[in-house]
Amino acid sequence: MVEQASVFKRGVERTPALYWAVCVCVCATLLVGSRPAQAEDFDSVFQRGLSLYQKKDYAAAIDAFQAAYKVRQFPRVLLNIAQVYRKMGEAAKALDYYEQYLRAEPKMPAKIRHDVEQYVSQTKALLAATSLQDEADRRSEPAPLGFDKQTGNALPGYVQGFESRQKRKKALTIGLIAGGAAAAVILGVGLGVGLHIRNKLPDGLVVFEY
Amino acid sequence: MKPVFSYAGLSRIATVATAFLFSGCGEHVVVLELSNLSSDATAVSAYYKIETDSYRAQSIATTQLLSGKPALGFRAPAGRDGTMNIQVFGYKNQIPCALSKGNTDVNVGGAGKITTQLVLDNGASGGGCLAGDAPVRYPADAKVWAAAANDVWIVGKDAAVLHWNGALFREIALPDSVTGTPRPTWNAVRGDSQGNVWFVGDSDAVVQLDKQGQATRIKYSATPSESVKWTGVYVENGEALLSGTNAGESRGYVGDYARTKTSVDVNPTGATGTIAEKFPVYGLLAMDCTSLANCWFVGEGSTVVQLQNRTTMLKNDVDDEDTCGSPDTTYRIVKVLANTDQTKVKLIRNDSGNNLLDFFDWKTKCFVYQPSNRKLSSFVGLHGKDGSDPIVVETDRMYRWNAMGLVPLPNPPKGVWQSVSAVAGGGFFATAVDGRIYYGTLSP
Repeated sequence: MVEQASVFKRGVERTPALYWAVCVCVCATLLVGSRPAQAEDFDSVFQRGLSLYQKKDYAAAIDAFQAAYKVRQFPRVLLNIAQVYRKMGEAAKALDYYEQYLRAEPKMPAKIRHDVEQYVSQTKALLAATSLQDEADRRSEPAPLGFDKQTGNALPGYVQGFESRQKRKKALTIGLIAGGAAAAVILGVGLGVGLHIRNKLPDGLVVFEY
Repeated sequence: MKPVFSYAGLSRIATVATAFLFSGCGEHVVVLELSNLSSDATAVSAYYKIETDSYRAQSIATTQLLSGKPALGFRAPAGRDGTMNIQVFGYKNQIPCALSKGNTDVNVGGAGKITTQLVLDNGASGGGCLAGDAPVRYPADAKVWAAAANDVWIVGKDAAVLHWNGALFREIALPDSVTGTPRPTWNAVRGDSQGNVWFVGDSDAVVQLDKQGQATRIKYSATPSESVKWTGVYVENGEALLSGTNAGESRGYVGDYARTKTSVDVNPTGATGTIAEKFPVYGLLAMDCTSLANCWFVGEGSTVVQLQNRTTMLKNDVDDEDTCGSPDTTYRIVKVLANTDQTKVKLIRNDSGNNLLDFFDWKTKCFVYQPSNRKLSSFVGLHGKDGSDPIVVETDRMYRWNAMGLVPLPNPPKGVWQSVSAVAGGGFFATAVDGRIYYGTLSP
């Protein structure tokens, strides 16, 4: 048994492609099987962020939005964090979150894109001038996009569309991983077969042990 | 909906892949493809080692080789890297004349099968040969005894022992605890039909190697007053007789080992109450027996003695004339070939001071030599299968000793030959001072 185990180990060591193929397959299966378990907490945390924002408790609002983003990675949350930072005069941080948002949400509605681009321009100007705009100007700006200005609730159409896109994206990711794993396994087995054929000793060969 | 991939599926894939690995992918084997192997070869022997290891040796019959494309496999140890030297020999009928031979180096680093080719040289003739091709240590000052063509023992300096088993030469490493130190030179080797082989030599060294390969230092029943250099041995059914001398060759010794004992009775020549009581008091330089009941001892001072039944001593005279009237006591007799018929016993005298060899035959009443047979040499070997058809070897010459005198064998190899042992089937093995081994054949 010990000898067999050592032979298997040697075999795996000598066929790294097969070894990695098996690893990739296992990882893919684990990824496919995993599910976020705390999606229901997002709304309450997000609402708390909006409420704090309206109360001008910007630091607490940022904490709440970041907590919400940990639960669900909606790009819109990044935009809200950027907006709050801009309100706080933290131009560099605001710009960082605007850029994160633009990367995470490349296909946003045209109006939102227009608004975001305006905010980015303003923030860059702020950063260049090294001075913040007048507090009153900032306070007159609209509430975060995608949410009801009066109630602070998320607008249903925006959230549902976003979730639909997220599901499609996840399905595509799973498909790619599974397909890659399958390809790796096929490659590994093929490599194993090739090595087997190449290393097979001639039938009837007398082998002297060392 | 079932998942496309599951742990069970992965397990099945891994099992299949592992099966492929087990079936040869993990082998770390040198496959040596042989070409130009002599069609006369009946066996192939291989000596192989990695780097500075000692050589391993294996042999197979050519019938075991793959038909059409002969090859040998050598499995390197797991994880061992380096250069493997492989030497291959093709032999015929268990005679150590390599019909084919080749030598190659293979790097055994890495993994998997390593295939390499070896084109063999076919240079040996079908007759005799110098059999020193194998990568083993050939003993210096070599003496030989061959029980058969496939059971040949060669011994010499530093307690060296080399054995040819019909396929391979193997060095037999005797430990210092058995040989004594400094390691002695073996002066004679002889075995019996039970597979026991005895080595005798300088400094009281007497060793028995049994057929299981167990070596035993044979002790004396009583310690003699001086160190004995053993010069000859005869073994039969686990019992042995030995000839010996002191350092100055002024006193001879007869050793007697009985199966009921575990020690040798060491009998100084001339000592009262021993089997050597009536021996001339000179060093004994050689012995030969047809059985334990018929042994001949020769030595310094023209000593030629027949020991019958391990008890009765018969002294014989040697002379340089046909008259046998005035025995010359100065001859140094160094070789004897025993026979049950006294008239067929052969003796050789070595006048080392003058570098002369004289060859004695029985003539009516004593042993005499023919001046025409005199040879200019100091080293000589004498043996005949079953006491007949004597073969003589000396420096650069080999002879058959018959009624015509010494008849030279054609084209003997050059060498200082000093020991010979004939085997059944018309062949003989000779060894030289420098360790070379020769196998020769004799016409009927």
